[in-house]
Amino acid sequence: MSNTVSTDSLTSIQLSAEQLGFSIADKKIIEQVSLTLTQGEMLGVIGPNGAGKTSLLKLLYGAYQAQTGAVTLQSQNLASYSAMQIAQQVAVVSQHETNSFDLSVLDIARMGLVPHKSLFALDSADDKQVIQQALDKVDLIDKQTRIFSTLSGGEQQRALIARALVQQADILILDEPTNHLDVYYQHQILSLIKKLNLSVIVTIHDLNLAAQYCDKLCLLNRGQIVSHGTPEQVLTVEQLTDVFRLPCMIDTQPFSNKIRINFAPANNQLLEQLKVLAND
Amino acid sequence: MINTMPLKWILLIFTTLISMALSLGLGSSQIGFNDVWQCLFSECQSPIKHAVIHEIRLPRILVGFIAGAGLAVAGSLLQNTTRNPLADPYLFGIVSGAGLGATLGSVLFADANLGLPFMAFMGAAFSIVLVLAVVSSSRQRKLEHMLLAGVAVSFMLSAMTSFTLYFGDAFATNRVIFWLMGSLARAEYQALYFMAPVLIIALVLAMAFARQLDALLLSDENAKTLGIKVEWLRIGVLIICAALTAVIVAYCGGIGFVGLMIPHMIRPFFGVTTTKLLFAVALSGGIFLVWVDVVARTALGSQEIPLGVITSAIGSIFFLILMRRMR
Repeated sequence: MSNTVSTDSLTSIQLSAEQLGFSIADKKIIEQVSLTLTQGEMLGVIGPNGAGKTSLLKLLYGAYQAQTGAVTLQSQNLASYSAMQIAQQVAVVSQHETNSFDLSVLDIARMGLVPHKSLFALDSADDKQVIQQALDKVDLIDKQTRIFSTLSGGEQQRALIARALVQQADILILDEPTNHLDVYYQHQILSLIKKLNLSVIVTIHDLNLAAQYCDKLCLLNRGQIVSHGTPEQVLTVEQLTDVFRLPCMIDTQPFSNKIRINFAPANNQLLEQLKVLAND
Repeated sequence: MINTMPLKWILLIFTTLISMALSLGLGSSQIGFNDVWQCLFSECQSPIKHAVIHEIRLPRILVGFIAGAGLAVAGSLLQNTTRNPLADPYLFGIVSGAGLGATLGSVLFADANLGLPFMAFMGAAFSIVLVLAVVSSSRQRKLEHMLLAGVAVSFMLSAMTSFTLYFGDAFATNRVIFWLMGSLARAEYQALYFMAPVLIIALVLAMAFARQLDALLLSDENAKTLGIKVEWLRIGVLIICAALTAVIVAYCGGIGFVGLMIPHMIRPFFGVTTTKLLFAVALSGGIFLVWVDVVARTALGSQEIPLGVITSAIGSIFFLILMRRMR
């Protein structure tokens, strides 16, 4: 799989970052971060709380401007695009706030049309079809008149993904889409994202989910990239104990044959023993 | 499921027309519906009726309708763009500013004879400039800052008004205080030439940016990722709402609670998205103020009740009922 991608990787790079640096009031948030996202790839950004995952995403979709380095979108500097042009190519599902007004699922999905419509423009028949197709993909077609705040967490997340699909962008960026969801919805959302066949960047806290669904991972710690590659390359005992400061062991998930990580409670003695084991 | 939306619109437009027609006949002298109809569409039977309907009631009802519509539109726009169901045109210091303008005009520069509406409008414009200055000087331009800036400016200008009134002469003070309570008694066609265009401009602009305004309903973050310049959009809305409120307050005085209450009454029936909401609140806000004015001019016989007194009384009761139903 990875071989076929790398042969024409030059043409299929959707988004890349080079030596990004970003700080707020002298506090370095992101340092020397470089990464690439190729066509159809699902890239997971993992790392502890405060590692800079959300900030990195914001740099990648232009909500923050990097002080050093540059983001390249479709082989052109991100800074050369207008906000509207970025929105036509990059759809974002951010960690949403609860709103106080009763928006329907349809109202929310319809928002995705914004970057494609001029002032005063009404929804065309094509637009309506795009919306219905998006709702169909996230399986909310029967619930489109429901009020957003009355939906379950998984349904809310799917409604937001429908809005991103209506945006018809090639790149989809999601900030912790599985947060606050039970295990059923976590898998539902991630398999849905995987099925969309878009180029995806997603932050995930659960490392086993990340290993199971992502093609590539990017491990972030204190604003810097510790490792960027396949789950097998990134999720090593050494790197994980180092970043998460917990003893861990790795085996395989029985269903998917992907990497499985088991953490133990903080224990310095165990940590030393595992380090010795890893060095052998 | 039957789509009841067309029915709701027909009902609302029908109520608007009926309210206009009925309220023309009501007042200190009652005029029958047939006479009203004749006066409007053919020939009046008596010159007195002609004068009452064309010179007094019609301008008053039209000004009242536009004022109610304008306040409700401004209230809805501000509530939607700040996602704060308690936002109100009055929260941004516009009425306090108008009050200060009216006070200074009546008490300090009474000789200049600039006219109450003009001074009130200048005062309202001044308050908006102050609010915008505070908002744009704060580094973060957060939503809460905008609301707090409005509240702060509002209290400051009210304090200045009270101070001036305290030292002003009794006659001028009376005039200002009655004006602040709101009235359509001075309504004339001239007021419409200022109020109607601003309302139409506000509605047209809101239609143009309806999609952007709708996207703001979910969150700022959501709107930004859709390519919307959220800060500019919100300041634009604040300016247009301020202009709308300022012309209304300048001619009608302080009429509280309309901008706050009408959007709450309408959302359950017409939804929250901009286009539907604005046209529905415009019509219902207009109907509401027309009937409030009928009560104002008939309830106590020859004596008129200030409009602001009635709208505030209804508004407070409405919110108490709303609170009970929400629990």
